[in-house]
Amino acid sequence: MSSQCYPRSLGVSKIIYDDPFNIVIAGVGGQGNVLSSRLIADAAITKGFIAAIGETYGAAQRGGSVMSHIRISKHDVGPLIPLHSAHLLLGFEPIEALRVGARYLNPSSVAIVNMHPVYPVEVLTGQLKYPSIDEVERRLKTLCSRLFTLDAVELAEQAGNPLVMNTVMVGALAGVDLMPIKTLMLEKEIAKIRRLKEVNQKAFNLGVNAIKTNL
Amino acid sequence: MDIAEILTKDEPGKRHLLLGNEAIARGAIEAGLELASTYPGTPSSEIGDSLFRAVKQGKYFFEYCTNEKVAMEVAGAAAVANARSLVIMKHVGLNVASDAFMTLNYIGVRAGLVIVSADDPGCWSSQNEQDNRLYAMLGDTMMLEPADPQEAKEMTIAAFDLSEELEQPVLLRVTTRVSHTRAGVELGPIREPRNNPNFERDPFRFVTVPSVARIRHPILVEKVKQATELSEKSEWNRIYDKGRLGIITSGVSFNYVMEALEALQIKAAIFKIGMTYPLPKKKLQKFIASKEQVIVVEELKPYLENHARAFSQEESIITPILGKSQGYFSEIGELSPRKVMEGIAQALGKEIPPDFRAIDEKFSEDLVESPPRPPILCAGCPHRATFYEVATATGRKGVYPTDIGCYTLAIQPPLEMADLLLCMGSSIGTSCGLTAVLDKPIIGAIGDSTFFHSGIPGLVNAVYNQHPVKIIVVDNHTTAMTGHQPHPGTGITGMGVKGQGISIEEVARGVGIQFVKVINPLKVKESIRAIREAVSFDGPAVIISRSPCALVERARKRRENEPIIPYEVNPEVCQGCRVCIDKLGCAAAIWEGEHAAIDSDLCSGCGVCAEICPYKAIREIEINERV
Repeated sequence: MSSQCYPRSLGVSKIIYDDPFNIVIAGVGGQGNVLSSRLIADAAITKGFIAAIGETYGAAQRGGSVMSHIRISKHDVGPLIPLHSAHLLLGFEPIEALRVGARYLNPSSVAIVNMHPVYPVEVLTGQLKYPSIDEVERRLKTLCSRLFTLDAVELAEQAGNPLVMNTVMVGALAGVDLMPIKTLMLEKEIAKIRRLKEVNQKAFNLGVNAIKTNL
Repeated sequence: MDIAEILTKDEPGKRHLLLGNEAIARGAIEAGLELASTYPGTPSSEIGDSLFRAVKQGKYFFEYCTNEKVAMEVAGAAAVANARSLVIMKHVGLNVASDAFMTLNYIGVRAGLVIVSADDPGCWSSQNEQDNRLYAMLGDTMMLEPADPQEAKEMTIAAFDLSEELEQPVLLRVTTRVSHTRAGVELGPIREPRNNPNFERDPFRFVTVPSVARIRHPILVEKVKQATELSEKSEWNRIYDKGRLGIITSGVSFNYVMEALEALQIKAAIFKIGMTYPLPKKKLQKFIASKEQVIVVEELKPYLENHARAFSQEESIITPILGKSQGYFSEIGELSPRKVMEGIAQALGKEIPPDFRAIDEKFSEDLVESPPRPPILCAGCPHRATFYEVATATGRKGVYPTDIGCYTLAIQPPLEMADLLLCMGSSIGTSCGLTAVLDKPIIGAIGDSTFFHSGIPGLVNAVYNQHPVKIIVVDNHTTAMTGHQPHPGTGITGMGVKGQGISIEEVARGVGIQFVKVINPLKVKESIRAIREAVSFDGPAVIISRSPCALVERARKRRENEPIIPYEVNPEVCQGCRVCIDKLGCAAAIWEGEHAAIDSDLCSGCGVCAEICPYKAIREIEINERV
């Protein structure tokens, strides 16, 4: 585990990325977590990297917490990111981002989080309280060097379908431009999606811009 | 690209992002697969499912079997008849198949037979985390164990060749972290299937009467000796790097070891065991003898560790062997980069650079306020309605054995309708046992696929021994939990042919159940009445609660452009009694402080909540309000 978990700038033009570069996606079953991680890994492989995704599913279709680990490397790597060693967190849901962020973020990592909540059953039924979004945001900030927040569901609706929230998030990931794979590569992968093709492309661009205007 | 295309196109050198399980399917096809059989079970399911998807383009025969034992017999016989065969199951599936497995090794095979056992350290989706490496030992059966998807594909091919070389079956053991890791996999050439099936009679080999078994056992022992020689030379048992410290490891743990050594800045020679049975004894002895100390890193049982010790003792090697016996690693749960880092550091008395304890503290602090999110029955799931009805009909005064499938999730509040669970098909047998000793209604639940898998013998037992069990078959017409595979009740075969489905009610009547009734769980009152009748019936009774899986139904409606009409709560009529939330607990029900509401995106329109609402406050959304 390298102590510096963030791409180190060497001079003006050359950036060396840590290897493996670790991205963790946190979300809820049904949010398109698995699809997004495949997309990112596909882009990495097309670029000549070796990529591995470790997934926890089984609960995926049933509204449980879902987490994907994506590791981009020039060498063979294991499927799991060591604790505290994610360079980037892509949070599809606020408390899931917090749950996973607390274990995988570190003071030099960056988090991009969709702040649109999906309430767990016990919250919906009034037995438990969902923490305030401000509080979640405050805590997330203490876990990393920089936090980008957006309402990816709203942007997905703007694109034409709330289901493409995950594409907005992949766009946001491209927007921060901190990975060894560039926006264009991800854009190409998005273009391969056949279902809701235009909606996905629009969603991706909305995601990119949401971050760029924030930078 | 479509998975069927990726699996069957002969494009050596091409790289694809594949799941470990898909890589195994591709490996089998590259090896000239002729027959594959399975019963689905996480984490193994995607192997069979991808072979199912590619069956039209492929040159093999594929079937979903009633259970793993049948699958083992199907593939075993095909391999005896000279067809390269693959049989796939999860770790506990091998328990079901073990009777066939434990004698298949005595007779051996003519063409390659590869048995995939997908183990689940950490119980991500299983009732236990047994270590099936011990089955290899128990069954004198060679075992290969890959560490990643690429290796999973290569080892599948190697396993076929190894199986043919010794005419013995080979186990390919994977774990969740290999099966469900997705990584770039480089494809190899596809071998043309031999297509030369042939049953050569040899009763003194293939008919295991005692006199034959006695002849075959020493042959098996001899085969294990030959396999040990192969293991000594096997390229799968490889030593990486150099150092006076030795590490012995296998499977996914290898990746964690490499990462841990780098993080801890430790130099070591790593013996990665890919052929875990039989072990390369001499090579291991030589390795251990040449080291100052050896650490063994493996998930679950101290299998490698105990062997390493026994092998060392034979040669009077005194190198300290560190592992689970000193408590550096646990035999509970799966390993992780952290656990391996901590274990190795502890064994060597070194400091661990990351402050894991601080992370733990932070983690627990942030968790306090984050409500948990356990998996739940989907909105509109017919199982929820069935269990609500059983609870209401029996006033929760019975005992409710359950079985393996989505419906096990009824363990959670507010249903809490799960009292006893062992394994696939157990609910009927356990119901028999409970009726024999208890004087209260025993209502067992079993899914349709599970009923065919191993429920029927239990039902026969209930009739034969006159146990007045009440069995609810929750029939959603699919194997939902493992990814919607077909089963005998659906009639759809692994070759994609639609045949005649087997009727559960006819099976129940056929074995002598006098009370058999089919209900639609979405009709609450009628269902409760039928369940009450069954409970008061003098003798064993079967209720088939039939309604399609809500996910399948939603997908069908979308496909066929059939509208889904959600329900809504009229806040003026709702009295806030919370029956819909506290008794039914549908995933689409929301509490808004004073009254209930329904998430119209999630609502499947099943109408169960409307029927149970005491104030008739729930109704279909008006047409003009529909989006």
